[in-house]
Amino acid sequence: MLDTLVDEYVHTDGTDPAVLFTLLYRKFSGAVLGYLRARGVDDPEAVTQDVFMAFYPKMDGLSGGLQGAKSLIFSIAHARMVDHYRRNERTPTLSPYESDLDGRSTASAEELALANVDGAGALLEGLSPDHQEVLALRVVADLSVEQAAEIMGRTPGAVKQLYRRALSALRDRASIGSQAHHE
Amino acid sequence: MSDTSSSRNQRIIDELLADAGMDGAATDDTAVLGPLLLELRSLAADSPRPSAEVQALMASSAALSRVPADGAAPAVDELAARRRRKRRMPLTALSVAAALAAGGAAAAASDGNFRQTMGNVGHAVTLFVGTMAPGHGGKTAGQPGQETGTPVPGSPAPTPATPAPAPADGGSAAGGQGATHGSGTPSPGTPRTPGLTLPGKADPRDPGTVPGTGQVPAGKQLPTAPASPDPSGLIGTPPVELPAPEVPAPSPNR
Repeated sequence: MLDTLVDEYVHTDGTDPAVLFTLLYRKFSGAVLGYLRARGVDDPEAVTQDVFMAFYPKMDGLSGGLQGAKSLIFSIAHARMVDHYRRNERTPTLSPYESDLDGRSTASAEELALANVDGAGALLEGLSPDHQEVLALRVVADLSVEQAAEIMGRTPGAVKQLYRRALSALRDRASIGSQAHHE
Repeated sequence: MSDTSSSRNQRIIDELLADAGMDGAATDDTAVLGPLLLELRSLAADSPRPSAEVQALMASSAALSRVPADGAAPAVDELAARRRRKRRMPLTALSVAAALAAGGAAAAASDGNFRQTMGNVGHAVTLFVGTMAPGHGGKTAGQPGQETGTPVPGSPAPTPATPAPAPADGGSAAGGQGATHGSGTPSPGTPRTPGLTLPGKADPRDPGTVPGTGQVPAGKQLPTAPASPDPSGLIGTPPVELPAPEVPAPSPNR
């Protein structure tokens, strides 16, 4: 229902931008948030809002229907993620407060829920940045090979090969982890 | 809801594995990677609540609910406008017709000939009615006597002349009618006033006699006036007496 409605309005010229923006936010904000979480961006909720705030002024020149809007939104999210890592490279390393080393507290329900989310995000840890990126775009953001290639600045064939290698690396890592767990 | 989303996720994961050539239920790839990919997709399960800035750019719920019906609104307005136009059409036609009728009536009323012809038509109608109904015809016949008699008290000598013009002013044909009754139309007038008609009518007829001489008829016509006091003289006045307007000009009354 929402897909059809959004696609119809993305194709229609002269529609109310507020209505279109609302429909697109409802459809893609979750995927953007998941993508930013998978890529380990700090405060992914706030960056998600920034992504849509940056997307709104570009709606006038929007083309390609629903998939065009999706590509544009994740292009912005990808740029935000790159900015995040560049900023981290420039900033000095901080030593965060390690709650695990503090024996004065116990885990709350929120911490358990966040640990579950962080665990999903930690699945990609240990993979190369390209592998993380292609898995985040293809699996979490549910983008096609062509869309992922456009965002990453590669050819579709290269992205397809990268994706296959990323899955193999993820499988090997999981199998290594399971073997270590058994041992 | 969760069942549909999980089945949808499973279908998508199967497609993702098929894209990488890792499909097949029996393979180890699917058994290992399937749960991992499902876990990855769970990162995108929930949508964040929009911030205040993003909320300001969003449409209200009322605008969203109105979205599908946007196309119908102008059609309703157009229909109402068309109905209003249809309602105006008969009003416009009626007002134009009324204006044309008023203008035509004013133009016709300003024409003297038209008025005269209308009067003649009226006289013809009354004459016709008089001929058809003999009882009424008797009354009309007496009218000329009335008319001649009314002016009498004012002016004794010229009375024979004056009576003809005086009624002629009100209805030009009146004086003439009396004359025609006397001479031209014997049928209704003659039986009522046998003696009076002969002298009285002959005199006013002649243009020469009317102004110049009131001598002969004066005495005889005077009695004629009281003889027929019918007020219906105006109606009964038969048509076509042009001498009536001519008479007053020379008459001493004017």
